Amino acid sequence: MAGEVLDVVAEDIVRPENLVYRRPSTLLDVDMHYCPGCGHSTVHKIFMEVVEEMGIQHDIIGVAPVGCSVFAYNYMDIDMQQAAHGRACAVATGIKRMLPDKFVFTYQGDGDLAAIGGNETLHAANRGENFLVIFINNAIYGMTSGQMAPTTIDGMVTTTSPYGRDPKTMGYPLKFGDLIAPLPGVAYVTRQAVNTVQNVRRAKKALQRALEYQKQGLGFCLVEIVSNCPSNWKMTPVESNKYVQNVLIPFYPLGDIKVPEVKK
Amino acid sequence: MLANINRGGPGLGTIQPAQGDYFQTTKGGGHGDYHLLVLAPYNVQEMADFVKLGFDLAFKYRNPVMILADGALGQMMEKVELPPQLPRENKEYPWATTGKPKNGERRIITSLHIQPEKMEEINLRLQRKYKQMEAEEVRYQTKNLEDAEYVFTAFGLVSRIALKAMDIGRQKGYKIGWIRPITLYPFPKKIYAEIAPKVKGILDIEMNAGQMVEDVMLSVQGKTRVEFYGRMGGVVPTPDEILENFEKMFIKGE
Repeated sequence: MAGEVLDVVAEDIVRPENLVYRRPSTLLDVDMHYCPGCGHSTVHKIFMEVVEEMGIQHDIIGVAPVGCSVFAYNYMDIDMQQAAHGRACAVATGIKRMLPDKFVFTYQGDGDLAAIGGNETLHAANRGENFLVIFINNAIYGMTSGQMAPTTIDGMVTTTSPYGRDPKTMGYPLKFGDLIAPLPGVAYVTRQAVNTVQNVRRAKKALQRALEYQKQGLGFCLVEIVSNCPSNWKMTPVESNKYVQNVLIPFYPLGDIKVPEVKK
Repeated sequence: MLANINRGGPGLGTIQPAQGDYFQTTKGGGHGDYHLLVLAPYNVQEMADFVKLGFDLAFKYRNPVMILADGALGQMMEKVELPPQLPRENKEYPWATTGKPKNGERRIITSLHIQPEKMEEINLRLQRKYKQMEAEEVRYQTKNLEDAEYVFTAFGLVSRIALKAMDIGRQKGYKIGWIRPITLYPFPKKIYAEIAPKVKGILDIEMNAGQMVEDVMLSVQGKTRVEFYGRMGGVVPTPDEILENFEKMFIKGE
């Protein structure tokens, strides 16, 4: 083979029958503002794949939060509203109640969901509002440059806990999914990650299940994604994914926390 | 559609009626240059009627509307004719996020615009909207302005008390007229500007330290004397008390 000129041109390869990977049609073909290696782009993609596969692009309304994913509507080709800091579950409640036959979701980070919007999230869950909350947990406030969040784990260094989080003065890390799971209005709580290919596939399946449950009207669904923040953790994308695996996941174990009872 | 049934403040204050939220309600009080369209009912009938009016205006302008009442109006019992129950509106609005249209662009409802030029453009559009409200939505009520030498002005509950004070004053021979703004924003500037050169003075009465009186003064542009009488902390002024203070300020002082 050495020295032979390959008689193949790009046009021969780029054919529909050879296509094994593509951007879902529900995700817009624009540059994303997320940092290299950030989990947001992966979650956007798999969720929009689910929307495409379920054929619900025209029947889903999203609520974007405040935080890094504040511009989620620049990427997702669906109707969206933007909520003020922490208020996504309140906005989603309004949309779902007016449009009960549509799919509704919020997309929120841990600062937005668990700190600023803790009240909204807790009560939407307790009311059993029939929508999906996608909860991106990277244990810090990402957009504002890495301050401590309720989810910051014990000993973790952030800009506002420079010597590491000390629960004695800074409180304990909050597992929001575990907190709301016992509530009767809550149908489905699961914790996933997108740091490995296997986890990405599982996370996608969880998102799909949550939308199926919403279709059945089962109640509040929360899909937590343990994610990374290479920029504020001051790590390379690969290091940050290892940190997710070796440090965060042991504290935030993956898997279903609550699943709906199967109707007989 | 928001409703603020104003209690005494500041802080936790008291549960008694007050009007100390006038500034907060009409001047913003939140973030950025914005206005709510503010309706001030003066009886229980209007408390009911303004709900429909408020929703209609909110949809017309795509702007939040606030009903500003007080703790007395909020708990008062009066005869009310309730408007007929209307079927739920099923209109399609092009801006509403009801699911991306099959043959159209996605809709995004947001107030976030990171580019300053874009944000200024949004502000200019909002200011045009407020100008349109000022041109089309001013509502107020007047009495006895034809021969008035003095004017009592107040909003909400106090305007009813002022009306009684006006009646007592008229019996005593004072030619008193009455203006009550129904929309606090947009404020009925014109009626004050028109009446100002024709009267000896305006007495503004409020359950606060003097808030709407600033708008009255801006409206009359110094063309007449404007005085203020107010009670705070949940105290409701009586008609006699208002008249007594009117006499003190305008009659005995002359």
